[in-house]
Amino acid sequence: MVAPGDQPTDEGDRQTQLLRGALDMCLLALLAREPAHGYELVRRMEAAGFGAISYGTIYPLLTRMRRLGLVADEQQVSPTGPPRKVYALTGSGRTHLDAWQKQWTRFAGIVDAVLIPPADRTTRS
Amino acid sequence: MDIIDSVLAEADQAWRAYGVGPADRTALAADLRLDLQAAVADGGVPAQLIGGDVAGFARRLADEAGVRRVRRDYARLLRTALLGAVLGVVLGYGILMAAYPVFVRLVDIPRSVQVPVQVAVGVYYGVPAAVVVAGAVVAVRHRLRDLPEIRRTTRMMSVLLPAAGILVTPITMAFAWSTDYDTAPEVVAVEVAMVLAALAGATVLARRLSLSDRRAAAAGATRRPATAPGTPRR
Repeated sequence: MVAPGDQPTDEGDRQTQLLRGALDMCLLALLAREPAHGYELVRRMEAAGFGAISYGTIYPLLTRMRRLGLVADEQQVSPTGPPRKVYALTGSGRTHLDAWQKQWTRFAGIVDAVLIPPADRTTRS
Repeated sequence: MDIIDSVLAEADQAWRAYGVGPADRTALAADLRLDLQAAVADGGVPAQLIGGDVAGFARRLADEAGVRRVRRDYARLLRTALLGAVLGVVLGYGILMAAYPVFVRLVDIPRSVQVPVQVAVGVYYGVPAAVVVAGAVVAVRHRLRDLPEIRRTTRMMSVLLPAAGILVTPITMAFAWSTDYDTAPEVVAVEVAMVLAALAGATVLARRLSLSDRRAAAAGATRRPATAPGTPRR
């Protein structure tokens, strides 16, 4: 909670807080595009613009999603190195992703409605 | 691969301390190894990937994988057993002081019957010792009833504690003999420490044995954590 008179929190901390509620959904969305192994997902998240998210955060989350049946892993032979454990979305994962996506869109709409004054919205539209 | 091995060894240590069973540790380590190998092949450095806090990462991973943790609680177990034993000492001493004169008055052994001195010593010290063991066992059974497999632990304790007592008594007596039965405080302290160490060892062993069966059963039931889609284990 931000106490009255506090300075705005560090941008990185704020970003972390925002990401906390959306990280699993973003991982599912990235895996929906193409299966990947843990480290590859770290790089994709970085490339997507989230900044540096540690492997130590992503890997346990992937493990949880696997336990919940949202993703499944399989070993793939790699021509350039050791076999890769590649994660892919399951049917249940896709269903959850669709539901979470809709929820996120609704939520973001509500936040926008609160943040953007009605006058600005009229101007924009 | 040395770096991966050292990271996995550190993680394994953290899982052990966290109460993760051997089968789950093996499965978690195998999964993590595969993923780290892929990451390293893509240019990642294991230590940097996981960060400085490998133990924290390992605990988080175990939680997310939903592995069953076994609460060993050795410190709590030993504290409780000691408390029960101390109460047992007081009670045993009280029983001895109260019962001995009563027995002497009630039981009039004819002079023709020769009671071996070993039997007399065994009864004289055995009764309070049994009360001490009972005190420790009852205290653990009652106060730690929230711990898994505590009944089994106390059953094992009731076998192992007397065995440890029987084992450590001649050793302690030999030590006392070697010091010419010195009653200097430091010598007595060493003798007390020897007995306590034996009893503590028996208590810890009882806990380990009672949990190792549980782990073996759990390992047989579930070979790999976090791999069965849609079957949360917590």
